[in-house]
Amino acid sequence: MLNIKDLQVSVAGRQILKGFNLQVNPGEVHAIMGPNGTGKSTLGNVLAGKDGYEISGGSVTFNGMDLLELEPEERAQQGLFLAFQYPVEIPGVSNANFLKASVNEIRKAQGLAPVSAGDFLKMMREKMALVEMKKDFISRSVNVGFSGGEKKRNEIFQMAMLNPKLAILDETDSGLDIDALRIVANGVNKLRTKDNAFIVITHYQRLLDYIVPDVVHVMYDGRIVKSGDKDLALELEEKGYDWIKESLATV
Amino acid sequence: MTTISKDISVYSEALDAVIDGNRLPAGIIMKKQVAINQFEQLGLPTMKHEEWKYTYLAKILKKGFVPGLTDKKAIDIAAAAAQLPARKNEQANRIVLVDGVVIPELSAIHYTERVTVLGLADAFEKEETGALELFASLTKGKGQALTALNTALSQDGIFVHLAGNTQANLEIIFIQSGSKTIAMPRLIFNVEHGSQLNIVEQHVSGDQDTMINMVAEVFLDNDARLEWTKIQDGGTGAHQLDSVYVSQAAGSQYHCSTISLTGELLRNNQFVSINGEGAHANLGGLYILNGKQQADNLIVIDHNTPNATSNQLYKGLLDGESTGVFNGKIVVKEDAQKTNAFQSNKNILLSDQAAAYFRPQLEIFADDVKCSHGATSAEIEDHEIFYLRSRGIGKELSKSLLMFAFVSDVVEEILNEQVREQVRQSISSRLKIDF
Repeated sequence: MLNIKDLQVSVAGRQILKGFNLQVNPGEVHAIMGPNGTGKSTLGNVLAGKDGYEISGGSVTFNGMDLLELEPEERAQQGLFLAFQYPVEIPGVSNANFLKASVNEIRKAQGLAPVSAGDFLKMMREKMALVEMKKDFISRSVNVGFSGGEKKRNEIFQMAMLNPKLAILDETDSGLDIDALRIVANGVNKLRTKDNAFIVITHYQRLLDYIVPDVVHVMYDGRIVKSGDKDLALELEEKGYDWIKESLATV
Repeated sequence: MTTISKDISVYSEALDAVIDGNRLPAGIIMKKQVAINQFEQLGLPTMKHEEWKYTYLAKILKKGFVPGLTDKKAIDIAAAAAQLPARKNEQANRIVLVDGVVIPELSAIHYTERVTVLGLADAFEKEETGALELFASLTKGKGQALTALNTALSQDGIFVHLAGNTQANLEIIFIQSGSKTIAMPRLIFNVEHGSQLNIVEQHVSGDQDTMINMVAEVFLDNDARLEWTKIQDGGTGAHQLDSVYVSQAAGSQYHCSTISLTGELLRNNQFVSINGEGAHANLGGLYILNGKQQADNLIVIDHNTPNATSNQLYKGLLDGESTGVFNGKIVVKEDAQKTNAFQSNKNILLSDQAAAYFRPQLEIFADDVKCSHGATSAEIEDHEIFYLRSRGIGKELSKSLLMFAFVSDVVEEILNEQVREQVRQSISSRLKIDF
């Protein structure tokens, strides 16, 4: 589904991704772990199409399409979803109106008619239950007055509403307490199918106790330096990132 | 042809025509004659007048607008009927004016013992209404030329009187037929102690150039309330000159929201006089402008007594070569201790040629007050646009949603949910958002 080949990305003249490679197939959950400053967020932002990144080499194919050629909204319309590490507050736009616009724009791109008001409300209530959102959520402005945990739950809620083919969770667990973590992970797990895929970018192993990955990759200095199964995450937790640095130095 | 502002006889002739063409009581005719003299002394405001420096009135009048008599018999009622918006509230009184003249056939008025809603011409004929005394009582000596002109040349309008402790809802629709005669309706609202008047005002005027110069005199007794939402969305050719004079007694509440969406010139003046303790005035406005549109908001709030509050919140979205002006004056007299008066104007400039002007003026003569004013220029944030785009929403729609968000706090100030929803729909339509 996703094929990243030798991706080179710079920001403000400084190279962050230095030949990044990754292949994700339908039904898979990939975890990407690594120390801070190693390019994890850059990866998420570049895949989502954020401005300000200079792509100097490599390619990204998403379901046979050249992802880097698409506008951010086109990527979302094709089934890509990024759960932001720092979700934006949008005072004055209600969660309902925001999502309705989003759902309908994506449907339009797929040649479908807009969802009816009644069906939309039904959908919202269903998915709100999934992430345990309170009823007043519908009319509140997007992320305004939300705690960190509520903002992250809102990201998962949106994911549930938009049903993407590939979801990238950018440090979704950062700043979450155990209860919020449980709700977020539960939401993600309920959405897993054999046709969609997830990339879980995380600093800590803890989330991976709840969202069990098929593959764990370790990112260091702008590329993936080690891959393994879920036990790699445990080993990393035990030995720390220095272990990776050391093992690379000896190579 | 000489510019109309220099040709005073045009106005005197118009007054003669208005007097001849209408049955007016002697007292009213006298007030009109005083007013035309005042107008002639004052002359039309020019760009040398501080409060008109951005509105080139003489140039606007060159589009062919003339003062004169609106011939009631010549009004095409069927055409007006076809343009009427659907009724939003069946229980409300609806009063429809075409070219400044009340059309009873299109109006729906429920007259009760405690609620009087009449065309102003009718109210002048019924002495018991008190319209004769109230007319021009608040506008006297205010030095506003266009107001004096309306006093002189108005031939009809709306009169509302609420006796104490009652409530009424009013839908006002101003239709402009396309005539170049300047419509000059006069509104008088007298709300007695403890009563509440709710007004939604709409305009219908199409793309042709039309002009309306309206004046309202509002009397709010102790603990009376007026909630007035002005939706200025009549048509691209509309030129609206609107002046509201309010006198507030103790404990009264004046809430006015001016929603400026379509129209070539939308000039709104609010002169609020707070004359009693515990009174509150809340003036909100938003203007979404494009092309060569201009919105010019002048607000003067006089705090004459202690312990009263006022708030001004105006926001502008300016695109194309449009101009948005906010001129907000707060005067706190020496005795008006413990006044809380706030003012805020925020604008987003969406193009290089658009312009926003703000002129906050504070004249504070009391020493125990809280006043603040602030005007900022804002932008639509890139990271907000990106967030929406990352959810599949295209760039243009993302910007429109954020524009809607920017003005939504002004909308939220409207107290009635139905009216808020009506305004939201007008705004989303204007921004081409299909919610």
